[in-house]
Amino acid sequence: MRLELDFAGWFQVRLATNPDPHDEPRGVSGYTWTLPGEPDFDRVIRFQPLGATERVGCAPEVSIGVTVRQVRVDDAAVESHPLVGVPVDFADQPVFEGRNGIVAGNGVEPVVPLRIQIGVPPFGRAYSDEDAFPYTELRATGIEWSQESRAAVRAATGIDDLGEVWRIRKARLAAIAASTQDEILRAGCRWRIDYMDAHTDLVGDFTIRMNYAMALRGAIEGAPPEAGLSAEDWTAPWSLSFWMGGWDFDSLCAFVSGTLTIGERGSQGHRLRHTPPVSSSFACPPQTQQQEGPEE
Amino acid sequence: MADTTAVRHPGAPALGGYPGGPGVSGFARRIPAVITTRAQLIDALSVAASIEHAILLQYLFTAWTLKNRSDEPLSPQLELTLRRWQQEMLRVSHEEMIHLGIITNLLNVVGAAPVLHRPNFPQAISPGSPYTMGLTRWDDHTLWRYVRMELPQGEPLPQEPPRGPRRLYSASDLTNPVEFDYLGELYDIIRAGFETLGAETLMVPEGVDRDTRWGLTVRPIPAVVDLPSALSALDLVVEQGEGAPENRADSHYERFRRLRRELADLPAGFDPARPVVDNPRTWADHGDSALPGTYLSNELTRRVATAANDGYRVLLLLMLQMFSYEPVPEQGPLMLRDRGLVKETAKQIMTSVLRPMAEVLNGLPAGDDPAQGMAGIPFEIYEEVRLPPRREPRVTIVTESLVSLERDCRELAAEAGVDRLSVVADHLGWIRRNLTDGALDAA
Repeated sequence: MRLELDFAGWFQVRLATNPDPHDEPRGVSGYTWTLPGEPDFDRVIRFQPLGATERVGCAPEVSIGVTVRQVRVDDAAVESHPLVGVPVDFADQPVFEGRNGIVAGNGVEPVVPLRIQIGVPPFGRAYSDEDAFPYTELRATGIEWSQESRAAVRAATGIDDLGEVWRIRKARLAAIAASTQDEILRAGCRWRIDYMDAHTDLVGDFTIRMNYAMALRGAIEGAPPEAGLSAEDWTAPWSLSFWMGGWDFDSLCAFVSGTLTIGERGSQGHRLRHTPPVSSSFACPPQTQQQEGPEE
Repeated sequence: MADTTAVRHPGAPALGGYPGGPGVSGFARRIPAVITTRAQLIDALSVAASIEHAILLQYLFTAWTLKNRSDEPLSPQLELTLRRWQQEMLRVSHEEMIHLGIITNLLNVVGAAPVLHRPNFPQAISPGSPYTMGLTRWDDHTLWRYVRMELPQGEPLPQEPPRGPRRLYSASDLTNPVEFDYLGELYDIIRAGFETLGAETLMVPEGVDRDTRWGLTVRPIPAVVDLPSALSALDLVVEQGEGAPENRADSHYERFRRLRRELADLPAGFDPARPVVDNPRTWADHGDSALPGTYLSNELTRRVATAANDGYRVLLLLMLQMFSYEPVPEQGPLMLRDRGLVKETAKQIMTSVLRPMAEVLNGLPAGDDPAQGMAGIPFEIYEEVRLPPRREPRVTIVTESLVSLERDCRELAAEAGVDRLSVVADHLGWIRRNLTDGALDAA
């Protein structure tokens, strides 16, 4: 038996960017900064709202929460499957482990540690019980700029033009700033308006994405969600592939779309490296070009 | 206060470095007003390299003293204002890195070795300089000093403001004649020297025109491949510093003037900077500076500062290799074959080793009592960092230095209870593997 779960949704990652040190808590010389009243950056990739710092004025276009979007059993979609709509999480507070190129360069930063959790109570699996620098299999394959990739990000996020989204958002923020008595909120709104005005170059980064694929061989958590999965299906390596893109540096959010495969042929994951998921309703087409990311 | 007497004790034997009596500068060279020989041009460019290097370190030191942590309560407006100031100062220092790259390439094209040595802080810029080079926290006197440093010729010198108790030297006591009052004068002399000596003086090394990106941002170093491009690169250095007469808005000089005005507008009594001592030093009685600094009498802090100096030495060694423009060997450790890797590693040491260590030092007491003030990164070099003429020893020296520094940082992290030094130790270990084993390539 083979169980495939397509998942997708917005996530948040609040981190400083090069040439700030990776652990700079407020952001100084890169292109991401905390706002007054916000907690320090912690670099954690959050698939769910718990612990996230959602900025005002970003809804409805950005709403944090990654969920299962489609379930297939032996290639057949099961629309009423109980896993459809359940939350998907990366546990253990994972981060993009780049460290200004010391661990990995732009666009190939591994997600470390990597342990996926599905549903409540969750089942899931870690990539490995032990992983270490240079995290070879956990790395992304680079920044993908192709037209196909851009189209896939637009389709998945529902955002054709982040510049237009920012224009509307700035108007929302201006209205909030004009009406609020909260000095911290007002300062933050004004600062964000200036940020979006000054960083129009970042709009172009919205549709680039990073592709990941690996086999999960680490500890398993929870019980099989499908009665038909044999013990062998359950314990064989699982396949996980996903892309991360749709970078909105104002909200400090981005979009993830991927597929987890358990059971028959699931262990193909290690061979899927460099290949984005193709069977998802949020699927991206095969990668057609690979380019180096821009210098910071 | 910490020991702010003088790092050089009267009567102490000279231990090397830049000896000299009071008021003598480690920057001092005999630079004629008119350059007529290659040797004179190399001397002048060497002074310029030392000065640009020292200037950028000053700006970094000052930027890092601004408050920006969650445990340093700031109103929303002040938090944003101080961040913008820090960004502005760091941007200027990044441009100074480009200037240093330009001067280094100019040295290269006249056939000379890169110059990354410079006298330790504090220094007068010349024996009778009306202003000084020093590592000082963000305050009006520091900004005034930077305005003075970037002052265009012909502009009136703004009145020197008073300075608080951490001011350790008196610029007005230095009244001797000077070789140049403005940086622009030095560059005028150099520019005229290039014109006098002409294109036949240039010996352009292979590759100097291809690798023109350096520093922490994408700003390129102008390629210097002939006389017009050399003159144009020099003009850029002056224009970014002083600004063009018709447009100074984005010059360093004008940016520092704006920062002074904004500082004056802060709420009365608010101090935007941490209480960092001036010119922190790890050596109490070295004769390399005629001006007083602040000896880091806290032993643990001094060891962290010494480790930071060691990291700075590794950076300089990598930069010397990067700017050597030697033919790349086909075999050998990656550090010798991949100039791009060396360049990236140099940047990583700046952002992920030196800056964290500088910020750690800002939180450590200079003396035994924190009320005496906090430490800062000293950027000291007590022995000139030189590029070994043979390639293999370069790898050995860098590797051994990184191993030693990683070990020191781990020990200090445990002793000082500062986790961030463990993070720095991790970085040093990975950097070593990247340089020697090609760990990143293998991944």
